[in-house]
Amino acid sequence: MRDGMVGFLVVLCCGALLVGGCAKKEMVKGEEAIPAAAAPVKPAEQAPAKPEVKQEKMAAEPVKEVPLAKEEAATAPSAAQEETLQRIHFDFDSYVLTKDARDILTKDAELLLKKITAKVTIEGHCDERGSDEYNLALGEKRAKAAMNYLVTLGIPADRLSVISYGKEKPLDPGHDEAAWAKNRRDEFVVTK
Amino acid sequence: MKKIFLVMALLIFPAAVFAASQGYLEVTAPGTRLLQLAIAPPVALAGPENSAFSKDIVDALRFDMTLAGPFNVTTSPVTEGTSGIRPGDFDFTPWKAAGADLLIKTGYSQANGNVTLECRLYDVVRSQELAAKRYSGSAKELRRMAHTFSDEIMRVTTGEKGPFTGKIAFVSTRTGNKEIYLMDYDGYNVQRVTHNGSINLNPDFSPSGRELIYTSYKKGNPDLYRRELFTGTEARISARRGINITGAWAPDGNRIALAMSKDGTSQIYVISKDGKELARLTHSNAIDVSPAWSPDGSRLAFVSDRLGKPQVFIMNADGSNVHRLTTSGAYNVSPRWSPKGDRIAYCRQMGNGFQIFTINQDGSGDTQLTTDGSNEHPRWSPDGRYITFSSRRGGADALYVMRADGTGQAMISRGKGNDSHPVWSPRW
Amino acid sequence: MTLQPSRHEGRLGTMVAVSLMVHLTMFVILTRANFFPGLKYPEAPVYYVDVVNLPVASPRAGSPAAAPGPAAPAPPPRTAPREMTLPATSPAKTKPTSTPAKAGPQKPTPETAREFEERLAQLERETEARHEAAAIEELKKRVAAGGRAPAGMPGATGKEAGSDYGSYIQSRLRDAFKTTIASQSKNPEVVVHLTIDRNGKVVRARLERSSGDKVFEDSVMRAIAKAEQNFLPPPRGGGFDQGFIFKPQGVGKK
Repeated sequence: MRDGMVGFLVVLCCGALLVGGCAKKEMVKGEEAIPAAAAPVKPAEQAPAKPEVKQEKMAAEPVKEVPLAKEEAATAPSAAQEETLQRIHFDFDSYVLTKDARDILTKDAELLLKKITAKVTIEGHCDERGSDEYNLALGEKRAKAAMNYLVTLGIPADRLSVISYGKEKPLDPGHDEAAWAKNRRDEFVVTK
Repeated sequence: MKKIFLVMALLIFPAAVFAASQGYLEVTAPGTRLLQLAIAPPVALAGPENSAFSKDIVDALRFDMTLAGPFNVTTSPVTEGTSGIRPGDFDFTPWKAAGADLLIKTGYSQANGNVTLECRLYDVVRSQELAAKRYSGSAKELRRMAHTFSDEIMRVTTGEKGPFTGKIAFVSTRTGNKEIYLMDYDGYNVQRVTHNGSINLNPDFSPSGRELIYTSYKKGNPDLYRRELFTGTEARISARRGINITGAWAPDGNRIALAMSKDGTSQIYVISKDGKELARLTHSNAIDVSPAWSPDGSRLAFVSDRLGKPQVFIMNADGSNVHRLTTSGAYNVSPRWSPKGDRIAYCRQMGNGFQIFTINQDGSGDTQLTTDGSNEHPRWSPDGRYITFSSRRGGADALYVMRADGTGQAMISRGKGNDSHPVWSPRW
Repeated sequence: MTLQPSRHEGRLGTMVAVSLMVHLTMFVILTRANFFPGLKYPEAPVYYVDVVNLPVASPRAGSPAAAPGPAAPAPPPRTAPREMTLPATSPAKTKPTSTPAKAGPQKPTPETAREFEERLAQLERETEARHEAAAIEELKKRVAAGGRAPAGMPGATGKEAGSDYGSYIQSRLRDAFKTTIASQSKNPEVVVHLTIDRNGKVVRARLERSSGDKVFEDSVMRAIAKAEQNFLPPPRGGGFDQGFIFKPQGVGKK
């Protein structure tokens, strides 16, 4: 009986610690997200698309940058070394564009405005861990997040389309965090 | 301690007095025993013996009866004076001595390439015949005949027919990409349904068992198709912009619930079986997928991440009265309502994989059924007594069956590649 | 990460469950150990009863030894067909009980007409057994009339055997039920009304009430069929009617 009590207390403590650990991690995550959203504090101009308030805010700054980038690209063609559109990556079970993703999308947008005139399909992909059914919807949200961002960067919406493959087309067939990180992505396929 | 005992005694005692006062005597026994079911070696009723036949018959019966639940199956023969299978043709005494409650006797004969199978079920204790059936068909149909008798055994012994003649539709990568296949519930007689070389997902049977809906990328977009199984006729019934996934046939056979993203994020809609939109059921900014009808068609369970992470919700069939079903676990998906209506099976993410749970429709009685490996896509047998699911246990994803309480897990996949998304057909 | 709390909950749940099981088993063990009849102190079970009854029972039994005397009236019907665990009692008791035991196994297979002759012989044996059984009943009655109190059978509730025919049938059914019970639901229950004729044969088994578990119902019917083979005729050449409630033993199943 006493052993049981001790065991129970130990379990309780462990549980409490773990819960605490979880909460902490969540907090950190939240903090990461907040600066990302807060960075472009510049007055938001318009909010065309419906879903993500956060995203619209983030979009605000880059929108102003785009013309700049365009000028730059026009004056210095060498800047675009890569002719291909780069893929972007996401956090687990998330369709929020990370800072890295937004940087890449900005470059992609340059390419799309300057070099590539064809239509582009944005493919949303997930890692193998989530449910395949749910991931089909999540992948689509990832694709749409990128599409909305590109639209705010000045790409005409009618040049972009989205499709989700959920976890059906992994880039890396591995079963570790490195593979999963690679697989949580949007790809940009030029359809001509 | 003594005091507690006395209190408990006083609590129990009146009940005993009451029972006695009614003049009934109580007969109790430890209730953990299984019925001892003996399967006698099949005999050749006419013509030569055929060991391949015997094996098919015994294997199929043994697999069914082992999964069934109430039985402990033995196939070890007893020494009998005669090999008769009809009542009066043999003696129950050796079977009684072997401790059998029930006995299956089978006999086969072959003529003109046709096999006739005679099956009889006996109550050994009461020396009584309980069921007798004769089937005939090609030798390839032998397992199917045995399954048919298994269904009959279930009817006779439990009061409800078994689901063992059912088919299982599933997705397999055995040819490299995800195609849809059909097989017997025990993994035999695999037939390929789709040949499009694309990605095919989420098959679901119509209540008649004659049609299948599934999502396919064969025209680029994940669209919903309906296919007549016997004729192979196929129609694209939902090709709306965005995803058209996780179709679930309503019990009335005329409607299909599915998740579509044509209006933004993935939401639950109901369309007619011809594809006409009838209603939008959910109105969230979140991801809503995987609708599952209650057996009476009055409600639907579905997955939504409207509170952050995917959880199972229940709503009325008109979209009203949405409430959360699963409250423990951070990530719960793939609900499926038992045909009996009482419980809902779903998957919970645990570690890097999933485990299958069942829960009462009021959220009580949450029970974990699987622990080995990662287990997904639970689907009920039409009688609600069994669940088929996909599982990864070290190797590739394979299909399994188990009883509704999680016991008796048995692998049914026999092909290469990954098998997933099994669906147990209604009775044919 | 997120699954930790739930695992912790699970641990708590199992601990509560284990504690519950332990308590329940304790309770069952205590209650099954025959503490109720007299509501005596649980520490002084069988011996106490024995000592009390010893002087009362022994003179009536008329046997020379004091100890086997009180034990004798209870055992015959209970131990007769199966166990012979008790020390040898007087020959008058062991003899009649052994005959029906022999007749038992022959009864179950009156299948074919070929065995008709054997059945005839068996019938004769049966009538003989009936006479002997009647003798036992007489004995039993006498003892029962003497001391209604528990007769000192270890582990018995005082109704186990000897006290009346219903309890005798009950104990035979219980023995058979142990070997046939099966169920497919949580708490099955079946009420059967048995009509036994003056030969000890079940002429009617009427299902009065059932929780609807067919597997369980059948197991009850099998128990009746099995037990019936060993039934002694009711006392005084009359018939017998009694309802029986069949159910699984308490805690074992969930």
